[in-house]
Amino acid sequence: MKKAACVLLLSLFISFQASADDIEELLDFISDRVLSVHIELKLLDSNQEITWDAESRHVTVVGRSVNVRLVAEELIIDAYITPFGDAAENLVLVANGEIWLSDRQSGDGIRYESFIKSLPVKPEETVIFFPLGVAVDSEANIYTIQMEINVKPYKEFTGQIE
Amino acid sequence: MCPEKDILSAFFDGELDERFVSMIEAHLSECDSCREILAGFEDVRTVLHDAEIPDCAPSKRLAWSFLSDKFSSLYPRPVWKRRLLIPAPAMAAVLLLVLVLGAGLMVSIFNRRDDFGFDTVTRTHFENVQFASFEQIIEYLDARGNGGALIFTLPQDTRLQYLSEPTFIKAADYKRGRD
Amino acid sequence: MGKNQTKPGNFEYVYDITYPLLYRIAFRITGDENISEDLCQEAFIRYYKRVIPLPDQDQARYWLIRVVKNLAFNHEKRRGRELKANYKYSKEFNSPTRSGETELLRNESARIVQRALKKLPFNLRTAIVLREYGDLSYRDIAKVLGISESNVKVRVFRAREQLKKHLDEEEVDVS
Repeated sequence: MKKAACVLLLSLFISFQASADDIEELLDFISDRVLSVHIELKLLDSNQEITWDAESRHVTVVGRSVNVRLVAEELIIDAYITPFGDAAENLVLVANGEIWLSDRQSGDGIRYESFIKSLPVKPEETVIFFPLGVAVDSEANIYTIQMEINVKPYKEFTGQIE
Repeated sequence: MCPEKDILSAFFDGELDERFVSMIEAHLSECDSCREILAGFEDVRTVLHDAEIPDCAPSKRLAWSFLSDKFSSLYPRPVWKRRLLIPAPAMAAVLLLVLVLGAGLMVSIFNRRDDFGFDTVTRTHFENVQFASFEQIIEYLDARGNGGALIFTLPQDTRLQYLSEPTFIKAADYKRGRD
Repeated sequence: MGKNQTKPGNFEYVYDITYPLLYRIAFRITGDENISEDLCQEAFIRYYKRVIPLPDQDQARYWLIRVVKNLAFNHEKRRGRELKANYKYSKEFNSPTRSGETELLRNESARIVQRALKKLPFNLRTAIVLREYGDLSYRDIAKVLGISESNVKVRVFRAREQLKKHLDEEEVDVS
């Protein structure tokens, strides 16, 4: 089935003369693997109040990353969120990436950290990724970066782009 | 008794909450200095709007010709411009996929992974960074990547620091842990 | 320009409708025609590269404005560093030849206004430009800048206050 679909896809790219039946088969195969990834980024102050908020929605397939980059004055986080597994039931989300942050303590260096985290999750179950971690005690002037991720199957092929 | 000047400024912009508008209007009918402040805002606005800017039409044309050159070199002609013999609804759906997924689709189908042998690992280390500035890091990332990054720019005056290990947790578990 | 000009979501349509506004905002923030043109071009390139187009004209507009504002900020930061290095050798920060103002700005008061705007800190300048030239509500400015509405109110007010002071100093007839 997989091979047939790949051949179909190849022929689609090359000849553009596929019949209606072939396309339907291809769509069925693909539709189980296409995912809609919703990312909501929040900045929380020490009272857990949201001081900044932004969101984005991205369409991908199982196994293909969504690249999210957070940029602040002295911070860059280059993160990849990759869904693996079965779009219908069992997903595993992997968050991996790199962080560059000005290191105040050691003068004017840049501190570098790489991370890889995985989490099994069900479709439409929200997960939260804290790239800089979570505050242990609520100190004043501490901001927390919170990335809420929600993945669900992208089943609606109406031709409308969300 | 006079309202704060930034309230007057909001009133001037029509951004003041309805409840307070009549209060301000009443005050203005009796207060010369506040009326003067408002007049000052009006004057600034007039001067700002009277100042000419260059006509954008030449720039717009020029930018467009540059853009259309750049687009044809960045991307192949979009699929929908080629003639396809496929019924309309299916075609629209396929084009959506081709547009969104491009070459990555074939790679994903071939490389489907069935074992999830990932440990939860976090590596932290200091490094002699080869970057002299954050701009260089961004250039490096742009050069390395394939241009598909969702970029979020955080507000400028936020001081951020490491609080703990990067944490990945279900929202439900997090809420439970906090309560 | 293109055949499908009236279809919303079509890139050419968005470009056609939004370019003048974007250019106006870029020019008021930077004071330079050439830079404004570059910033607008870059913003539209990024817009074209978006895989998922934005759902409506308003969203596209706010997105483009936000990109232009970020690009203007980066440009200014970079230029500030360059200029600090060159300061010994240059006479004037905003001399006409440096900032690329052409004979189009024969209007002296237009030059004065642009100088006064340039004196404002970037954050205040952006807020007042979006308000007076972008016609954005406080709510929309808040979304574009990523700050609270009350912060927008304060920035717009402070910008007005400082502008009045700078314009008075230039002896522009503000009465």
